[in-house]
Amino acid sequence: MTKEEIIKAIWNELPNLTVNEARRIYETTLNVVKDRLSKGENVELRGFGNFIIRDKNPRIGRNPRTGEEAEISKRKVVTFRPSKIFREMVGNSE
Amino acid sequence: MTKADLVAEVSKLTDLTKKETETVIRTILGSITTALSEGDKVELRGFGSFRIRDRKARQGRNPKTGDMVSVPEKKVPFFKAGKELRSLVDYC
Repeated sequence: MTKEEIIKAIWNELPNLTVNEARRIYETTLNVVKDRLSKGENVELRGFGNFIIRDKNPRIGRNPRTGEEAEISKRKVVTFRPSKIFREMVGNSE
Repeated sequence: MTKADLVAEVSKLTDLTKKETETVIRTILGSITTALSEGDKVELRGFGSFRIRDRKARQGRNPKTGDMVSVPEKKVPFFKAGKELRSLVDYC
């Protein structure tokens, strides 16, 4: 499934919108989520899951191609913890 | 940020009513959960992708009693942040 299919689904739910409006609203929604995450804020969407910003400590890694050691700097990463409902939906699927 | 905060902000930015915005957000999230529960994956450019990961069966313990229990293999939703989101999150 891609963005265009989600936009079509939005348009199906709100047929008074044009497809372009539905696209703009989709983009706005994702941009708001991205913006909050980039400010270091968690985004908690009940029934779906939580996007959580985690701090990773620096560590020594290896370049898998050359085997050389290199320090991987301290960084922030975004992780997703799916809600119980989402996990159950996926876990019970075949 | 909670779902209610997201609805309020998107509604402000798009001139949709709160009710319409709720419908939009419910539709976006519902599309993703439905796709994964049907075994499909979802790729959202600039944001990331949602797919299913298989977890192997393992021996676990009941944390309360300490008894060994076997945890069967299962499928779990997995999100991988896209390049753009990863760099946005890291440079701040």
